[in-house]
Amino acid sequence: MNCAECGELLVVHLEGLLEGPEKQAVLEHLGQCQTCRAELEELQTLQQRLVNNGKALAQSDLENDVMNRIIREQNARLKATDQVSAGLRIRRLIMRSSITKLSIAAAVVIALLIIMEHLGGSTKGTGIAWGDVRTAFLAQRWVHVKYDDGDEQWSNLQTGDSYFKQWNGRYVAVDHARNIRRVYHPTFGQHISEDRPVIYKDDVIPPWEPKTAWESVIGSWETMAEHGGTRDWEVERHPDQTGGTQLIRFDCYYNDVAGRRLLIKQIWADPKTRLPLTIWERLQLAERKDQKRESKTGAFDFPQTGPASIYDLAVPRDLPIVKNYDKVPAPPVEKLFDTAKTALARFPARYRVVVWDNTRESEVDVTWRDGGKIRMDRYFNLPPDMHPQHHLALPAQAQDILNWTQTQPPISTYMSDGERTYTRHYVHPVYPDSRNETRVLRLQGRDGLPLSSKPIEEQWPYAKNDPAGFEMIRDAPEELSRYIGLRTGGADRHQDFYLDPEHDSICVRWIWWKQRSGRWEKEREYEYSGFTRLPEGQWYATKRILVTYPDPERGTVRGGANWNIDVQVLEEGDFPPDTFDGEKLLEGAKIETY
Amino acid sequence: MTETDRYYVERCLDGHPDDFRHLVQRYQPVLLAHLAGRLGNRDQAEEAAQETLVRAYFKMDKLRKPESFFAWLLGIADLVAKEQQRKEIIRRKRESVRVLCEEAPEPELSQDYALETAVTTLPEAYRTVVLLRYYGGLSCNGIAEQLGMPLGTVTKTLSRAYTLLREALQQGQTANEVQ
Repeated sequence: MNCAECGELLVVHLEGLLEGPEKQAVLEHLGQCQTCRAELEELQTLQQRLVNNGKALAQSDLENDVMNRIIREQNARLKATDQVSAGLRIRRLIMRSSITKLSIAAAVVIALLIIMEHLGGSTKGTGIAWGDVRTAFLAQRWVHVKYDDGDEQWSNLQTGDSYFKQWNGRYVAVDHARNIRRVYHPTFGQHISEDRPVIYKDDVIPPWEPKTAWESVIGSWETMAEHGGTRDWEVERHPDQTGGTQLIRFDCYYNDVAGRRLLIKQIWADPKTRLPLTIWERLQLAERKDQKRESKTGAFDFPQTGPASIYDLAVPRDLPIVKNYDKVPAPPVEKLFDTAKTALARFPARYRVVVWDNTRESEVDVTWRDGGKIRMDRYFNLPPDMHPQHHLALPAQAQDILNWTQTQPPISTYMSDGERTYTRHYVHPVYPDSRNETRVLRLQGRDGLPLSSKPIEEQWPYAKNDPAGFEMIRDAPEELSRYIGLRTGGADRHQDFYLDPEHDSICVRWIWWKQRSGRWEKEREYEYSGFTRLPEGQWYATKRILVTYPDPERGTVRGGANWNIDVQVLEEGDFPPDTFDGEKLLEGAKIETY
Repeated sequence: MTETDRYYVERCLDGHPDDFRHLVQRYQPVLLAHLAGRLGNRDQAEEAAQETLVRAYFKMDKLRKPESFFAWLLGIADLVAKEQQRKEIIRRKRESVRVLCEEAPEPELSQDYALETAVTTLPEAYRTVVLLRYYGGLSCNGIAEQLGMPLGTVTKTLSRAYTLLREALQQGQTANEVQ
């Protein structure tokens, strides 16, 4: 076989589709030919990049968002088209079927069901309750489940170590306590890949609980019910028997958005030992697709020991281990992040900030923060010759600006009240194409506002990121050498953060780099200066300069701005009325919920 | 069991809207990859993907060939992406009273944009195969089945796509070096 022939077959080989003499020939050629080996490696690298990128994109809540929106719009359309036939064919089709109840279903879907209330404590009547099975399960040492599709799982209920041997030839070992997962999947290469199964906030791994194993083996009905909102689970208990033995069967149903009741899982338990014996599961779509079957059945046993490492699952010992997560950051990097977080946490919880450009017409932002609540109103200072009524004379002081905003229509408001975020846009007299519109979103963890509407947080722009992605800058330019440099980014872009250790690690310089023509060029650069101290000793910058560099690709020219930042610490009663009243932001506006 | 796109499309049209969920699951990563490459931003891609899927659902009765659902979906996605880009330009124009000082986008630190962009620039036949393989999670056999082409054509297309991707990635790094 020559290189050209081998090259043609490389992808087929990588896909695991080569067999017999052809495979042999490719392997032989690869053994002899360094060029083709290098080619193979390059292909593998590219493939891995594609796989990683695909994984990153698969983690998304799109499905529920889309389905919720469809139901909502469906309802709106049903209502709107009641009289006229301007409606959709879909509507008529729906009316034809039992899904007419969709609007009812939509209401039901929002309801939340806490299953444990139905399942908990009660041992009345025949046999045992769900909670009893759980308790008995968690008291075991190891659990082993063997499924009829070839999957097999062991979990150590004391340490959380779990091992999987999957029907498709994939081997997995998970160490929950250290948050490390090792996977060996021969189709993806002769190596063991190591990653973090769960991404925890700030990389802090919560203490492991036996519950984790319960959830991974039995399923997390309780969790699903608690995080429901769009889901609706029910569990029923029935007496059952096999071969003359009395058993208890738990049936888990899922009420889907269309109002159907789907049987998802069944678990048979022994009323004497209270341990689960058998599990039947309806497979999820991806699994159904892969395995070409609808369900699988597993048998439980509770051995005294289990595997000690992935090698105990018959994985070869001499394979290289490839780490797929960022290196553990050097201690100084972590420490810098801690300093920033401490500084942010120490900053007063109540304040008002005015941000404006003192040198020319620009936006004027007024931000109010009261603990977890935050609001930013944006106004436009427009040129005097064109819009004298919207002009603010410069330079100005913070108080003048606040007075001026009282006379001005805002262009937008961002507000988070701790539960929801509101983005309000107003019709501005100068911009007739603007709309009165409010977007309301339910919060998930964060306050949901962009960094740019949080003028204090913005002074530590690196702090909300995972330190694992950062490294120390060793070759800082002379003018920045008294600061601490951190760098993060990828192959063709990166960002540098220079922190000032004398001022609570505020980022005095934030530089965005891009690689063009093989050279690193600046895209934009922020500079913070004019440090001032609050009475309690916390630092903040009162000046912020932005320079944007010309970008031939986007056709942009050099630009920039020169902001002033004025902070006033407030007391509880100092906020204007209705500052954090979401209802007020809905008034007179078209409301969007996605 | 795996059902075809056609099956789910017809189920939806027959009044089982929840079966659309299967199509969402099937094409979510593909769509995100496609849009992220176009829009260069994950948040915008998610927004556009959502809009695309919702629009597709409500327009499903206009889909002539249910078996071409995927190609049709990508068509809608392109339209939505264009609209979104236009809106973004208008928004920027309006908000940038001073030169270029629109809100700084949140730093996107982990995305492989170079790759996403490279995938977007692939000619359609190659892009479809790459998207289905890596973002649709299909095997080569699965792609052959889905697109109704011989397995050999799939692997050849994939092979050529890799070459194009590598060229595009390299070009991205060394663009304008000659100048």
